[in-house]
Amino acid sequence: MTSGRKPDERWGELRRAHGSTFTTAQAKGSGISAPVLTQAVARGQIRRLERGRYEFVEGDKSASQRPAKRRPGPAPLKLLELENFGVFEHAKFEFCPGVNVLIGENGTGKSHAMLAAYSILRAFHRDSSPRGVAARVEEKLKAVFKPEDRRLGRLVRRARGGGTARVSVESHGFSCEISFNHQDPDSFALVNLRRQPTGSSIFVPSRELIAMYEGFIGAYESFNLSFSEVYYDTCVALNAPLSRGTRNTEVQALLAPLLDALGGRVFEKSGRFYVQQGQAKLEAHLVSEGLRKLATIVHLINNGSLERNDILFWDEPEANLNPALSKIVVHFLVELAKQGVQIVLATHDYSVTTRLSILAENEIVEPELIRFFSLAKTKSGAVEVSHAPTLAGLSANPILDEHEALYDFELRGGVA
Amino acid sequence: MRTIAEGHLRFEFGPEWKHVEQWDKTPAFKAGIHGVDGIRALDIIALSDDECLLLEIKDFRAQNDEQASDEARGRRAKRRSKHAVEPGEAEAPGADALVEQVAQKVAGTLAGLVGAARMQDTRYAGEFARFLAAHRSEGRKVRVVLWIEGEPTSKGKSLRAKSNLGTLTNSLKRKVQWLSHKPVQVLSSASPPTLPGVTVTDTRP
Repeated sequence: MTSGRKPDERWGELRRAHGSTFTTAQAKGSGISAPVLTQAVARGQIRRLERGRYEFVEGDKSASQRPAKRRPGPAPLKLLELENFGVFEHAKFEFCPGVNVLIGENGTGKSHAMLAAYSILRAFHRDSSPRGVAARVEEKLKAVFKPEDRRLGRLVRRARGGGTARVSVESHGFSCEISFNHQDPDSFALVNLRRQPTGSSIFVPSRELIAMYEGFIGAYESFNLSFSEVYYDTCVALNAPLSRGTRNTEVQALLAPLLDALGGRVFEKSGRFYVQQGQAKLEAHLVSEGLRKLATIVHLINNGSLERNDILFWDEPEANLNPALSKIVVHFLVELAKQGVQIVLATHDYSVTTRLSILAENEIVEPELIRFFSLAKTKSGAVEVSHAPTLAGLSANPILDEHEALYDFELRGGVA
Repeated sequence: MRTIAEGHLRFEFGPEWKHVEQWDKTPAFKAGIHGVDGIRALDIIALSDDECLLLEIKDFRAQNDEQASDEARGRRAKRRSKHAVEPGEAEAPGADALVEQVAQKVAGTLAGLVGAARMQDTRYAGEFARFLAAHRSEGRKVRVVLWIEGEPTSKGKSLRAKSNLGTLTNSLKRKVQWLSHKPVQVLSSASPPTLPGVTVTDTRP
């Protein structure tokens, strides 16, 4: 029986018995359950190497000695360059420190661009792995994009002059470039690495997470699920314990409109999320899907997984959300950016984009707080990227094009 | 105080407006750029110390009435209202075409004002031209307004009339962003109009 021992004793026994790496079964033998392992991953105490296999993070002997999460100064993602990657022949995203809005038709690579940046930044999230950064970035890309047969070459744009994909990421004091060939599985290379990125990255996918959260982490670690690893990463982030003490007044003010929309606070109990609405405790899966996405963000902020200097990648915040709530989402995005969180979001929503643009046009927000990116296919099939401080300055805007088409459709009395 | 009537609409400009002109009716326009083929002009231009107003008016109501009347008689509508449809057009333009017209008129008006200032030594034209040339660096405002009555998609009655004005606003911003994207407005007396320093009255019986 191990239940009578203190947690630190169990970790010590595990380390003595199996060294710096161990399996889920070995941890269980030392009285450490799968949920506890997951929490330790979220805290940075251990690192998940592969399915069912972990290692201790260097220097982490006990909870009391655990290093605090690094929070040096502002660290926005400055630049993402994609060459022969996915639909991009050559694309350059110069991000602003605040809200970056990606618009474009389906298949123009909005999500891929965000996932590429996220994968590289996230691979550095916990440093000092003996596996080396190149191996970690390569593994992360495979786990996030899930290419067939785990072949990164499938992400290479195979066009004239193509054959090798390059992805460069620059953030505050950090730069990294990777390349890989579409034929040679051993061609992955990481060059021009400069320091470590600061802050962490969170990716909120278009599908909500908190209803599927229950048991997902364990299932993902135990079985070969076809979900992108962003789902796992974000569930692990959701799993982090709530920050101690009362959140500061800025955070409370930031979350208040979201909590109003949700009708109450969000909390996790025994691996399941709930929304407390008055006296009623509502299981997350009984809350509407759109609101669940808001609940996800609320919890990530409440448990400290998303804070100043971090980057939030948010894919289609409007999905399943009533348009009436778009003003709350926009207000929240702007306030979150003002508090030092950089945001990169992909959206098809007229209301979200127009509201953000109106704030920029009327200088309600600082000029560099909002930037719009248009992703549009050229005749060659490659996607071109342009950016502007307002929607009006974009060379292509398929959302507005469709609204104009709708206007014309009505003008013609419903005749196409 | 200057009052200008355009069809059934009356625009009263407050004392802050130093110059108010029906540009397409001015001698400076007629003797100047009007002679250049394809150049068109805005209906009203106005200038205060810190704002230049470029205003185009489209009143589709008469056309809507005619269309409804023709349709009631089982005929295709033939006649078109003076203020809504441009010469050579058979019917109300689509969103892109409508804002394109306005954008061309904005460009034509700016060119005409500069020409009038240079060639005719028209004092007010010189003031407009100087304002427009320096407004960005001086942090002053150019307001482009499309005033629509009887929004044509729905004869002004659609539940979507308001959002259609929003669509036109965004389209117009796109077309005139080279000059100004703040503020660009598409207004109608059906939606609460906000045109600072200007009172708009509908005199249609």
